[in-house]
Amino acid sequence: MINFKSTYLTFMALLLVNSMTLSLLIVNKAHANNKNESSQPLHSSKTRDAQLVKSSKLYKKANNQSEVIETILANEPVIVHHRQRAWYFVATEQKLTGWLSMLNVRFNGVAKRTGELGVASAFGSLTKNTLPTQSTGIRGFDEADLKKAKADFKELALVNAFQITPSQVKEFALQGQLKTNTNIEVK
Amino acid sequence: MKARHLVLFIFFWVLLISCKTTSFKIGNLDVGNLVNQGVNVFNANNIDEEQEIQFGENMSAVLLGARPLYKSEEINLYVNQVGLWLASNSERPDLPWHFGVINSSSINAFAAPGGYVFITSAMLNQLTNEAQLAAVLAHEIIHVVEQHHLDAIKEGAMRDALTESLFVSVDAYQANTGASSKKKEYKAWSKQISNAAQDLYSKGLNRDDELQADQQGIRLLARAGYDPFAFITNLQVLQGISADDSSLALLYKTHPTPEQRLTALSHNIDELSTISGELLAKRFQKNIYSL
Repeated sequence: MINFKSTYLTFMALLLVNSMTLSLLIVNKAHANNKNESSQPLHSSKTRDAQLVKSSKLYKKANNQSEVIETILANEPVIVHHRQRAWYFVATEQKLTGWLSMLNVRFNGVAKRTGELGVASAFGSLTKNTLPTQSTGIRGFDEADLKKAKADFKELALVNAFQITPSQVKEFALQGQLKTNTNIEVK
Repeated sequence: MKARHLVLFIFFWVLLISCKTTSFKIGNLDVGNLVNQGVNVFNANNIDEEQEIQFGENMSAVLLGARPLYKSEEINLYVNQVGLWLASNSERPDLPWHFGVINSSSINAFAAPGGYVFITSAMLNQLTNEAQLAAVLAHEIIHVVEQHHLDAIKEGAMRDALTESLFVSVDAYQANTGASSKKKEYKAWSKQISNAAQDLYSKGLNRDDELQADQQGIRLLARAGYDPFAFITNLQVLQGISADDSSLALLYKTHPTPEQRLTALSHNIDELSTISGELLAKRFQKNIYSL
Protein backbone atom coordinates (compact mmCIF):
# COMPACT_ATOMS: atom_id res chain seq x y z
CA MET A 1 0.00 0.00 0.00
CA ILE A 2 2.83 2.34 0.99
CA ASN A 3 4.66 1.48 -2.22
CA PHE A 4 1.55 2.16 -4.28
CA LYS A 5 1.02 5.54 -2.59
CA SER A 6 4.66 6.52 -3.10
CA THR A 7 4.57 5.51 -6.78
CA TYR A 8 1.30 7.38 -7.26
CA LEU A 9 2.76 10.57 -5.69
CA THR A 10 5.92 10.33 -7.79
CA PHE A 11 3.83 9.85 -10.95
CA MET A 12 1.68 12.88 -10.14
CA ALA A 13 4.75 15.01 -9.40
CA LEU A 14 6.33 14.04 -12.71
CA LEU A 15 3.06 14.80 -14.52
CA LEU A 16 2.96 18.23 -12.93
CA VAL A 17 6.58 19.02 -13.90
CA ASN A 18 5.95 17.83 -17.45
CA SER A 19 2.84 19.93 -17.89
CA MET A 20 4.63 22.99 -16.47
CA THR A 21 7.54 22.47 -18.87
CA LEU A 22 5.13 22.06 -21.78
CA SER A 23 3.29 25.25 -20.82
CA LEU A 24 6.56 27.16 -20.62
CA LEU A 25 7.60 25.87 -24.04
CA ILE A 26 4.26 26.89 -25.56
CA VAL A 27 4.46 30.35 -23.95
CA ASN A 28 8.06 30.81 -25.12
CA LYS A 29 7.21 29.69 -28.66
CA ALA A 30 4.25 32.05 -28.80
CA HIS A 31 6.44 34.84 -27.47
CA ALA A 32 9.10 34.07 -30.08
CA ASN A 33 6.49 34.02 -32.84
CA ASN A 34 5.10 37.35 -31.69
CA LYS A 35 8.60 38.79 -31.70
CA ASN A 36 9.22 37.57 -35.23
CA GLU A 37 5.93 38.92 -36.50
CA SER A 38 6.42 42.29 -34.91
CA SER A 39 10.14 42.55 -35.64
CA GLN A 40 11.20 45.28 -37.99
CA PRO A 41 14.66 46.16 -39.24
CA LEU A 42 16.56 49.03 -37.64
CA HIS A 43 15.92 51.45 -40.47
CA SER A 44 12.14 51.36 -40.14
CA SER A 45 11.05 51.01 -36.56
CA LYS A 46 13.88 50.80 -34.08
CA THR A 47 15.37 53.86 -32.53
CA ARG A 48 18.95 54.44 -31.50
CA ASP A 49 20.57 57.06 -29.36
CA ALA A 50 23.15 59.06 -31.24
CA GLN A 51 24.92 62.39 -31.39
CA LEU A 52 26.23 64.74 -34.03
CA VAL A 53 29.90 64.89 -34.93
CA LYS A 54 29.50 68.41 -36.27
CA SER A 55 26.89 71.15 -36.43
CA SER A 56 24.23 70.18 -38.94
CA LYS A 57 21.06 71.57 -40.39
CA LEU A 58 17.85 69.81 -39.46
CA TYR A 59 15.72 69.72 -42.61
CA LYS A 60 11.96 69.34 -42.95
CA LYS A 61 12.40 66.80 -45.77
CA ALA A 62 15.15 64.35 -46.66
CA ASN A 63 17.01 66.66 -49.01
CA ASN A 64 19.16 69.73 -48.58
CA GLN A 65 16.84 71.89 -50.73
CA SER A 66 14.04 71.68 -48.20
CA GLU A 67 13.21 74.04 -45.35
CA VAL A 68 15.75 74.23 -42.52
CA ILE A 69 14.05 73.75 -39.14
CA GLU A 70 17.05 74.37 -36.91
CA THR A 71 20.81 74.02 -36.77
CA ILE A 72 21.79 71.27 -34.36
CA LEU A 73 25.13 71.72 -32.64
CA ALA A 74 27.97 69.19 -32.54
CA ASN A 75 27.75 66.60 -29.75
CA GLU A 76 24.06 67.29 -29.23
CA PRO A 77 22.14 64.07 -28.57
CA VAL A 78 19.45 62.90 -30.99
CA ILE A 79 17.27 59.83 -31.34
CA VAL A 80 17.49 58.19 -34.74
CA HIS A 81 14.15 56.78 -35.91
CA HIS A 82 14.68 55.65 -39.49
CA ARG A 83 16.62 56.29 -42.66
CA GLN A 84 15.81 57.41 -46.18
CA ARG A 85 18.77 57.22 -48.54
CA ALA A 86 21.51 59.31 -46.88
CA TRP A 87 19.21 60.93 -44.32
CA TYR A 88 18.16 60.00 -40.81
CA PHE A 89 14.81 61.08 -39.39
CA VAL A 90 15.65 62.20 -35.86
CA ALA A 91 14.12 63.70 -32.73
CA THR A 92 16.10 66.23 -30.73
CA GLU A 93 16.09 66.96 -27.00
CA GLN A 94 14.06 70.10 -27.80
CA LYS A 95 11.36 67.82 -29.22
CA LEU A 96 12.09 68.89 -32.78
CA THR A 97 11.88 66.29 -35.52
CA GLY A 98 13.39 66.38 -38.99
CA TRP A 99 16.09 65.05 -41.27
CA LEU A 100 19.85 65.07 -40.72
CA SER A 101 22.59 63.92 -43.07
CA MET A 102 23.46 60.42 -41.84
CA LEU A 103 27.15 61.14 -42.35
CA ASN A 104 27.08 63.64 -39.47
CA VAL A 105 25.53 61.20 -37.01
CA ARG A 106 27.27 58.67 -34.78
CA PHE A 107 25.46 56.03 -32.75
CA ASN A 108 26.22 55.94 -29.04
CA GLY A 109 28.31 52.95 -28.00
CA VAL A 110 26.55 49.91 -26.60
CA ALA A 111 27.88 48.15 -23.53
CA LYS A 112 30.83 45.86 -24.00
CA ARG A 113 29.72 42.28 -24.30
CA THR A 114 30.88 39.95 -21.59
CA GLY A 115 30.92 36.64 -23.38
CA GLU A 116 31.10 34.88 -26.66
CA LEU A 117 28.16 34.41 -28.91
CA GLY A 118 26.44 31.20 -29.70
CA VAL A 119 25.13 31.07 -33.22
CA ALA A 120 21.59 30.36 -32.06
CA SER A 121 21.59 33.41 -29.83
CA ALA A 122 23.50 35.35 -32.44
CA PHE A 123 20.93 34.88 -35.16
CA GLY A 124 18.06 34.96 -32.71
CA SER A 125 19.16 38.41 -31.64
CA LEU A 126 18.42 39.92 -35.01
CA THR A 127 15.10 41.11 -33.68
CA LYS A 128 16.55 42.61 -30.51
CA ASN A 129 17.83 46.07 -29.83
CA THR A 130 20.59 44.82 -27.59
CA LEU A 131 23.44 42.47 -28.29
CA PRO A 132 23.39 39.00 -26.77
CA THR A 133 25.80 38.28 -23.97
CA GLN A 134 25.49 34.55 -23.39
CA SER A 135 28.39 32.25 -23.94
CA THR A 136 27.43 29.07 -25.71
CA GLY A 137 30.78 27.90 -26.89
CA ILE A 138 31.45 29.61 -30.21
CA ARG A 139 34.95 31.01 -30.14
CA GLY A 140 36.27 34.16 -31.67
CA PHE A 141 38.86 34.62 -34.33
CA ASP A 142 42.03 36.31 -33.22
CA GLU A 143 45.76 36.25 -33.80
CA ALA A 144 46.21 33.28 -31.47
CA ASP A 145 43.71 31.29 -33.54
CA LEU A 146 45.58 32.18 -36.70
CA LYS A 147 48.89 31.24 -35.11
CA LYS A 148 47.61 27.80 -34.21
CA ALA A 149 45.66 27.25 -37.42
CA LYS A 150 46.57 24.48 -39.83
CA ALA A 151 45.27 24.49 -43.38
CA ASP A 152 41.97 22.62 -43.47
CA PHE A 153 41.41 21.49 -47.04
CA LYS A 154 38.28 19.52 -46.12
CA GLU A 155 36.56 22.70 -45.01
CA LEU A 156 37.81 24.41 -48.16
CA ALA A 157 36.21 21.63 -50.22
CA LEU A 158 32.88 22.45 -48.55
CA VAL A 159 33.21 26.08 -49.65
CA ASN A 160 34.09 25.02 -53.18
CA ALA A 161 31.05 22.73 -53.23
CA PHE A 162 28.57 25.62 -53.00
CA GLN A 163 27.67 25.80 -56.67
CA ILE A 164 25.27 28.36 -58.11
CA THR A 165 24.89 28.83 -61.85
CA PRO A 166 24.93 32.28 -63.51
CA SER A 167 21.26 31.83 -64.48
CA GLN A 168 20.38 31.13 -60.82
CA VAL A 169 22.23 34.29 -59.83
CA LYS A 170 20.24 36.30 -62.40
CA GLU A 171 17.00 34.77 -61.13
CA PHE A 172 18.01 35.65 -57.56
CA ALA A 173 18.63 39.28 -58.60
CA LEU A 174 15.33 39.38 -60.49
CA GLN A 175 13.40 38.14 -57.45
CA GLY A 176 14.93 40.95 -55.39
CA GLN A 177 14.28 43.49 -58.16
CA LEU A 178 18.01 44.14 -58.29
CA LYS A 179 19.12 45.76 -61.52
CA THR A 180 22.61 46.75 -62.58
CA ASN A 181 22.96 50.52 -62.54
CA THR A 182 25.23 51.00 -65.52
CA ASN A 183 25.66 54.71 -64.75
CA ILE A 184 27.82 53.85 -61.79
CA GLU A 185 31.40 52.92 -62.46
CA VAL A 186 33.37 51.04 -59.84
CA LYS A 187 36.71 52.80 -59.70
CA MET B 1 83.70 21.09 -36.26
CA LYS B 2 82.21 19.55 -33.23
CA ALA B 3 80.50 16.20 -33.66
CA ARG B 4 77.10 17.69 -32.75
CA HIS B 5 77.43 20.37 -35.43
CA LEU B 6 78.46 17.75 -37.97
CA VAL B 7 75.38 15.68 -37.18
CA LEU B 8 73.15 18.75 -37.55
CA PHE B 9 74.79 19.70 -40.86
CA ILE B 10 74.25 16.19 -42.25
CA PHE B 11 70.66 16.19 -41.02
CA PHE B 12 69.77 19.45 -42.80
CA TRP B 13 71.65 18.42 -45.95
CA VAL B 14 69.71 15.14 -46.10
CA LEU B 15 66.45 17.06 -45.49
CA LEU B 16 67.22 19.42 -48.38
CA ILE B 17 67.96 16.57 -50.77
CA SER B 18 64.89 14.64 -49.71
CA CYS B 19 62.65 17.54 -50.66
CA LYS B 20 63.73 17.75 -54.30
CA THR B 21 60.84 16.91 -56.55
CA THR B 22 60.04 15.81 -60.06
CA SER B 23 59.64 18.24 -62.95
CA PHE B 24 56.10 19.57 -63.11
CA LYS B 25 54.63 22.94 -64.05
CA ILE B 26 51.63 24.87 -62.83
CA GLY B 27 51.20 28.15 -64.67
CA ASN B 28 54.70 29.55 -64.93
CA LEU B 29 55.77 27.70 -61.79
CA ASP B 30 58.25 24.89 -61.95
CA VAL B 31 56.94 22.71 -59.17
CA GLY B 32 59.80 20.38 -59.84
CA ASN B 33 62.03 22.98 -58.26
CA LEU B 34 59.78 23.35 -55.31
CA VAL B 35 61.67 23.17 -52.10
CA ASN B 36 60.41 23.60 -48.59
CA GLN B 37 63.31 25.23 -46.86
CA GLY B 38 62.54 28.75 -48.04
CA VAL B 39 65.72 28.89 -50.14
CA ASN B 40 63.76 29.41 -53.35
CA VAL B 41 62.44 32.93 -52.98
CA PHE B 42 59.47 33.51 -55.22
CA ASN B 43 59.26 36.28 -57.76
CA ALA B 44 56.09 37.91 -56.50
CA ASN B 45 55.90 40.23 -59.50
CA ASN B 46 55.20 37.33 -61.79
CA ILE B 47 52.02 35.84 -60.41
CA ASP B 48 49.43 34.74 -62.96
CA GLU B 49 45.71 34.21 -62.32
CA GLU B 50 46.07 30.47 -61.81
CA GLN B 51 48.66 31.03 -59.10
CA GLU B 52 46.58 33.81 -57.58
CA ILE B 53 43.62 31.42 -57.24
CA GLN B 54 45.84 28.70 -55.81
CA PHE B 55 47.36 31.08 -53.30
CA GLY B 56 43.83 32.14 -52.30
CA GLU B 57 42.81 28.51 -51.81
CA ASN B 58 45.73 27.90 -49.50
CA MET B 59 45.10 31.08 -47.52
CA SER B 60 41.40 30.20 -47.24
CA ALA B 61 42.23 26.71 -46.00
CA VAL B 62 44.21 28.28 -43.14
CA LEU B 63 41.37 30.68 -42.28
CA LEU B 64 39.05 27.68 -42.16
CA GLY B 65 41.59 25.86 -40.05
CA ALA B 66 41.32 28.67 -37.49
CA ARG B 67 37.53 28.57 -37.40
CA PRO B 68 35.28 26.26 -39.45
CA LEU B 69 32.42 27.08 -41.74
CA TYR B 70 29.03 27.71 -40.21
CA LYS B 71 27.24 24.46 -40.93
CA SER B 72 24.10 25.62 -42.66
CA GLU B 73 24.03 24.99 -46.38
CA GLU B 74 21.02 27.32 -46.73
CA ILE B 75 22.77 30.31 -45.17
CA ASN B 76 26.01 29.67 -47.06
CA LEU B 77 24.11 29.34 -50.36
CA TYR B 78 22.24 32.56 -49.64
CA VAL B 79 25.50 34.41 -48.94
CA ASN B 80 26.90 32.93 -52.16
CA GLN B 81 23.91 34.22 -54.14
CA VAL B 82 24.36 37.74 -52.79
CA GLY B 83 28.11 37.60 -53.34
CA LEU B 84 27.92 36.17 -56.84
CA TRP B 85 25.45 38.85 -57.93
CA LEU B 86 27.83 41.53 -56.64
CA ALA B 87 30.85 39.83 -58.21
CA SER B 88 29.06 39.64 -61.57
CA ASN B 89 28.90 43.46 -61.42
CA SER B 90 32.59 43.79 -60.55
CA GLU B 91 35.59 44.27 -62.81
CA ARG B 92 36.51 40.58 -62.48
CA PRO B 93 33.22 38.69 -62.98
CA ASP B 94 34.92 35.60 -64.37
CA LEU B 95 36.96 34.65 -61.33
CA PRO B 96 35.75 31.46 -59.61
CA TRP B 97 34.10 33.34 -56.73
CA HIS B 98 33.32 31.47 -53.52
CA PHE B 99 31.66 32.84 -50.39
CA GLY B 100 31.31 31.32 -46.95
CA VAL B 101 30.17 32.04 -43.40
CA ILE B 102 32.84 31.33 -40.78
CA ASN B 103 31.49 30.21 -37.42
CA SER B 104 33.02 32.75 -35.08
CA SER B 105 32.04 35.20 -32.36
CA SER B 106 34.48 37.76 -33.76
CA ILE B 107 33.01 40.48 -35.94
CA ASN B 108 35.00 40.36 -39.15
CA ALA B 109 35.16 39.50 -42.83
CA PHE B 110 38.04 38.24 -44.92
CA ALA B 111 39.02 37.93 -48.54
CA ALA B 112 41.65 35.74 -50.13
CA PRO B 113 43.15 36.12 -53.60
CA GLY B 114 41.43 34.52 -56.54
CA GLY B 115 37.82 35.03 -55.41
CA TYR B 116 37.39 33.78 -51.83
CA VAL B 117 35.31 35.89 -49.45
CA PHE B 118 34.26 35.02 -45.88
CA ILE B 119 32.03 36.72 -43.34
CA THR B 120 31.85 35.62 -39.71
CA SER B 121 28.56 34.60 -38.14
CA ALA B 122 29.01 37.39 -35.56
CA MET B 123 29.30 39.98 -38.33
CA LEU B 124 26.15 38.55 -39.90
CA ASN B 125 24.52 39.00 -36.51
CA GLN B 126 25.08 42.75 -36.68
CA LEU B 127 23.13 43.11 -39.93
CA THR B 128 19.42 43.51 -40.53
CA ASN B 129 19.05 43.49 -44.28
CA GLU B 130 20.55 42.09 -47.48
CA ALA B 131 22.02 45.44 -48.53
CA GLN B 132 24.14 45.47 -45.37
CA LEU B 133 25.33 41.93 -46.09
CA ALA B 134 26.12 42.98 -49.65
CA ALA B 135 28.06 45.98 -48.30
CA VAL B 136 30.35 43.71 -46.26
CA LEU B 137 30.89 41.40 -49.24
CA ALA B 138 31.43 44.33 -51.65
CA HIS B 139 34.31 45.66 -49.52
CA GLU B 140 35.96 42.23 -49.60
CA ILE B 141 35.30 41.74 -53.33
CA ILE B 142 37.19 44.97 -54.05
CA HIS B 143 40.22 43.59 -52.14
CA VAL B 144 40.18 40.62 -54.51
CA VAL B 145 39.52 42.64 -57.67
CA GLU B 146 42.33 45.06 -56.86
CA GLN B 147 44.66 42.25 -55.77
CA HIS B 148 45.42 43.97 -52.49
CA HIS B 149 46.67 40.77 -50.85
CA LEU B 150 49.13 40.18 -53.65
CA ASP B 151 50.34 43.77 -53.28
CA ALA B 152 50.81 43.12 -49.56
CA ILE B 153 52.99 40.10 -50.16
CA LYS B 154 54.97 41.89 -52.86
CA GLU B 155 55.66 44.94 -50.73
CA GLY B 156 55.58 43.64 -47.20
CA ALA B 157 58.00 41.93 -44.94
CA MET B 158 56.65 38.63 -46.20
CA ARG B 159 58.42 39.05 -49.48
CA ASP B 160 61.68 37.49 -48.35
CA ALA B 161 59.91 34.50 -46.89
CA LEU B 162 57.88 33.74 -49.97
CA THR B 163 58.48 30.54 -51.78
CA GLU B 164 56.84 28.99 -54.78
CA SER B 165 55.25 26.38 -52.58
CA LEU B 166 52.60 28.88 -51.47
CA PHE B 167 51.20 28.85 -54.98
CA VAL B 168 50.84 25.11 -55.37
CA SER B 169 47.73 23.16 -54.51
CA VAL B 170 47.70 20.48 -51.87
CA ASP B 171 46.88 17.89 -54.54
CA ALA B 172 49.69 19.00 -56.83
CA TYR B 173 52.06 19.13 -53.91
CA GLN B 174 51.24 15.64 -52.74
CA ALA B 175 51.12 14.15 -56.25
CA ASN B 176 54.53 15.51 -57.11
CA THR B 177 56.33 14.99 -53.86
CA GLY B 178 54.62 11.81 -52.77
CA ALA B 179 54.38 13.45 -49.38
CA SER B 180 51.40 12.25 -47.39
CA SER B 181 49.86 14.55 -44.83
CA LYS B 182 51.79 12.73 -42.10
CA LYS B 183 55.23 13.28 -43.58
CA LYS B 184 57.48 16.03 -42.35
CA GLU B 185 57.86 17.52 -45.85
CA TYR B 186 54.11 18.03 -46.01
CA LYS B 187 54.08 19.47 -42.53
CA ALA B 188 56.83 21.91 -43.49
CA TRP B 189 54.87 22.97 -46.58
CA SER B 190 51.69 23.31 -44.54
CA LYS B 191 53.56 25.36 -41.94
CA GLN B 192 54.76 27.78 -44.62
CA ILE B 193 51.21 28.32 -45.77
CA SER B 194 50.02 28.87 -42.20
CA ASN B 195 52.78 31.38 -41.55
CA ALA B 196 51.94 33.30 -44.72
CA ALA B 197 48.23 33.41 -43.84
CA GLN B 198 49.02 34.47 -40.29
CA ASP B 199 51.19 37.31 -41.61
CA LEU B 200 48.57 38.37 -44.11
CA TYR B 201 45.55 38.33 -41.81
CA SER B 202 47.07 39.47 -38.54
CA LYS B 203 49.04 42.38 -40.02
CA GLY B 204 46.24 43.36 -42.35
CA LEU B 205 46.37 45.30 -45.57
CA ASN B 206 47.65 48.74 -46.36
CA ARG B 207 45.43 51.47 -44.88
CA ASP B 208 44.96 53.04 -48.34
CA ASP B 209 43.82 49.67 -49.69
CA GLU B 210 41.19 49.48 -46.95
CA LEU B 211 39.93 52.95 -47.79
CA GLN B 212 39.91 52.10 -51.50
CA ALA B 213 37.85 48.99 -50.74
CA ASP B 214 35.34 51.29 -49.01
CA GLN B 215 35.27 53.84 -51.84
CA GLN B 216 34.81 51.23 -54.55
CA GLY B 217 32.74 48.89 -52.39
CA ILE B 218 29.97 51.44 -51.89
CA ARG B 219 29.90 52.00 -55.66
CA LEU B 220 29.77 48.29 -56.36
CA LEU B 221 26.85 48.08 -53.94
CA ALA B 222 25.00 50.83 -55.81
CA ARG B 223 25.88 49.40 -59.22
CA ALA B 224 24.40 46.04 -58.20
CA GLY B 225 21.10 47.75 -57.32
CA TYR B 226 21.40 47.81 -53.53
CA ASP B 227 20.90 50.85 -51.30
CA PRO B 228 24.48 52.20 -51.12
CA PHE B 229 23.91 53.85 -47.76
CA ALA B 230 23.67 50.45 -46.13
CA PHE B 231 27.47 50.65 -46.33
CA ILE B 232 27.44 53.75 -44.09
CA THR B 233 24.97 52.07 -41.73
CA ASN B 234 27.38 49.15 -41.30
CA LEU B 235 30.24 51.43 -40.33
CA GLN B 236 28.00 53.32 -37.92
CA VAL B 237 26.85 50.06 -36.35
CA LEU B 238 30.49 48.98 -35.90
CA GLN B 239 31.37 52.41 -34.54
CA GLY B 240 28.54 52.03 -32.02
CA ILE B 241 30.01 48.86 -30.51
CA SER B 242 32.32 49.40 -27.57
CA ALA B 243 35.87 49.76 -28.91
CA ASP B 244 37.29 47.40 -26.29
CA ASP B 245 34.86 44.62 -27.20
CA SER B 246 37.07 41.59 -27.82
CA SER B 247 34.95 40.55 -30.79
CA LEU B 248 36.37 43.53 -32.69
CA ALA B 249 40.03 43.13 -31.70
CA LEU B 250 41.34 41.71 -34.98
CA LEU B 251 39.11 43.95 -37.10
CA TYR B 252 40.38 47.07 -35.34
CA LYS B 253 43.98 45.89 -35.55
CA THR B 254 43.77 45.39 -39.30
CA HIS B 255 41.47 48.21 -40.40
CA PRO B 256 41.23 51.97 -39.92
CA THR B 257 38.63 52.79 -37.25
CA PRO B 258 35.00 53.13 -38.38
CA GLU B 259 35.28 56.86 -37.61
CA GLN B 260 38.26 57.20 -39.96
CA ARG B 261 36.46 55.16 -42.62
CA LEU B 262 33.27 57.23 -42.30
CA THR B 263 35.23 60.47 -42.58
CA ALA B 264 37.08 59.23 -45.66
CA LEU B 265 33.87 58.02 -47.30
CA SER B 266 31.99 61.24 -46.61
CA HIS B 267 34.25 63.16 -49.00
CA ASN B 268 33.53 60.90 -51.94
CA ILE B 269 29.89 59.91 -52.07
CA ASP B 270 28.06 63.02 -53.25
CA GLU B 271 27.25 61.43 -56.58
CA LEU B 272 25.40 58.61 -54.79
CA SER B 273 23.15 60.93 -52.76
CA THR B 274 20.20 60.66 -55.15
CA ILE B 275 20.45 56.92 -55.71
CA SER B 276 17.97 54.67 -54.02
CA GLY B 277 18.39 50.93 -54.10
CA GLU B 278 16.99 47.82 -52.51
CA LEU B 279 17.44 46.90 -48.84
CA LEU B 280 15.70 43.49 -48.96
CA ALA B 281 15.25 43.16 -45.22
CA LYS B 282 12.53 40.53 -45.46
CA ARG B 283 14.54 38.27 -47.78
CA PHE B 284 17.56 38.59 -45.49
CA GLN B 285 15.61 37.65 -42.38
CA LYS B 286 13.79 34.82 -44.14
CA ASN B 287 17.08 33.28 -45.22
CA ILE B 288 18.84 33.81 -41.92
CA TYR B 289 15.90 32.35 -40.04
CA SER B 290 16.12 29.19 -42.13
CA LEU B 291 18.31 27.81 -39.32
